[in-house]
Amino acid sequence: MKAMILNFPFFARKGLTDMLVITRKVGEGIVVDSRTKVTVLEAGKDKVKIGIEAPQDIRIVREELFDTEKQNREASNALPKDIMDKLLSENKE
Amino acid sequence: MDTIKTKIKTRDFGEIEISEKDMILFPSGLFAFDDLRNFVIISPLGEGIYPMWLQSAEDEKPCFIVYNPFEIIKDYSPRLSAADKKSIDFSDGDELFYLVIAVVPTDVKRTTVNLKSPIVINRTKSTAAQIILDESYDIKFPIFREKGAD
Repeated sequence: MKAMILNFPFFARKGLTDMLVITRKVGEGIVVDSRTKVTVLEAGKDKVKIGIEAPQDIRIVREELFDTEKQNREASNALPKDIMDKLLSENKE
Repeated sequence: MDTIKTKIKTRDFGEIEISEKDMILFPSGLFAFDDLRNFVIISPLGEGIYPMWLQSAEDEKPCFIVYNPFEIIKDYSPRLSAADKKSIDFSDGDELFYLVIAVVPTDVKRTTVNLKSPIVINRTKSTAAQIILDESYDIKFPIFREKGAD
């Protein structure tokens, strides 16, 4: 088991209809799939500190890192020739 | 010191010759490309003109189209954490510059850049890292939205 602590900037996400919303007090937690425990360690005005205990094979990353990895993979795809030509010519003054 | 030239294969420009002093070391790679260490910046539009191409020197496929974030939003103000500074071996007086990675779709006008996770390059030491800023910048920032009817 590993324990890690992450600091998340707190923000409300709108438009997500399939999100389970649970209110917890500091010190209380939730358990996901019998194997992963998420505990609220501290709650501030615009930040909460969360502790996660999960098996080693579960990869836990901050959302922005996950999204950046996804963006990087997408960004590295080769461009079709016409797009490439456009990019090279349109930016030329 | 003589500049040592080396040839690398690129994704978009075939084989090119570069000076070894132009090689930039990413000690931790890029996110999702953790094992790539050496990159070069190619400026096909002319020196100092963006976008530029950030090309892996080890593998021809990983290549990224990059922009200067300060040309996209004037008040861009990335702040480096102590860990970020350490990752590029930063010491006072080192010259830094920033690049942001673009996703270029079929409709080029809808190109976005990742302002949240810029690449910071320590020009003095030729080291670089992709960092994630604390500030709430957009991961998919459309670069042409200010131009309106364009």
